[in-house]
Amino acid sequence: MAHPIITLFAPHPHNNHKAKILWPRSIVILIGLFIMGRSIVDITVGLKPGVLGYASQINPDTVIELTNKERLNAGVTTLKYNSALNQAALAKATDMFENNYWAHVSPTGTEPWYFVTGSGYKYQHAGENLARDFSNPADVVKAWMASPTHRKNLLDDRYHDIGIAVMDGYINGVETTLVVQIFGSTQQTSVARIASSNVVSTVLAEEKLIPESGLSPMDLSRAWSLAFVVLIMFALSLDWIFVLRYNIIRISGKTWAHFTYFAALAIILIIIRQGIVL
Amino acid sequence: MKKQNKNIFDYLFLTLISSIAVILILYFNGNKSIQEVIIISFSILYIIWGVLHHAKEHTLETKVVLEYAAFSVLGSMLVMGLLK
Repeated sequence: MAHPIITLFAPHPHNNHKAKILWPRSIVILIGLFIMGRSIVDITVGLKPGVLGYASQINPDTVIELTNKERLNAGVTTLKYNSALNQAALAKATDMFENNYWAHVSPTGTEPWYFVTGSGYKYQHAGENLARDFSNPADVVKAWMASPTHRKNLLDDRYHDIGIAVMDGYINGVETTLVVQIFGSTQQTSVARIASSNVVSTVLAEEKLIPESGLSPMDLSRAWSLAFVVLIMFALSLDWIFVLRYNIIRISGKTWAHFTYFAALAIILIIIRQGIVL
Repeated sequence: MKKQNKNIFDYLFLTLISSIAVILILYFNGNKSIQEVIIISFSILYIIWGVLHHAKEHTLETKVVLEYAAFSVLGSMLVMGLLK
């Protein structure tokens, strides 16, 4: 009688020459285990808000600098920091945390322009880019540039002013860092530019990020998913070695194809960056 | 020899699909809805690849299709869990 571990991971006459873990029914069990693990994390987050979280150090100044660098590269005029737009961005970020949402329009129907008007900025054109869970400003701007709609906003030559808010808080019980970027232009742009220059340091000091950084939910999810991928790839490697060595002929899916698919998934799981843009 | 060559092309094609999926995921980093579409498309293409490959080899059976389907459901769930 073969040891259960051997029949689980290696082809053997007792498992019809195919590792039991690679049987479709075992894959269904693995899917169940994966969902169970994820549910435990989700329930923990629900019961103990803040047990998992992600806080980062994103300097709003750098976001503006990188945004302007992209505009210069595209041949568009650079944006000037505007304190009113900055207040609008701060108000939007505060509203998202207070009302527990992640969207351009709040659940009560409040649009971004409400915050722009509320800040006293009389806009002719305005736009908003959102990002969350990024660890550094370069990744935020890179993600916006990779998205056609955000890129269009970022490089729009109708905008002359910019306001940025980076705020740490909790959405759905998970600690997160929000980046709100608001663009605008008004007929009095030159006046706004002059007024803004001395306000930057004060506003940035007020919204200094909390450097506390718990275990990121994404890191935990990544580790959980990678554990399954490694397990499957290990079983596939053993299967491949045994099939080659003992010249096993069987009707089954191609081990090498499964291995290629899971190797690609392993790379994808590693390269997917934290952070969402909206 | 001819059969071996045919298999090499099949595997090269699968490697190409996998590489394109990885490159697209990298390109659209930060845009989770597009990344979801890429993963689902990649997994569907993987099943189609399996069916066509086994049909060509005359080894296509229900349990083989189920195997590819089970692997692709597990694979896409593992990545989608990260995109949630």
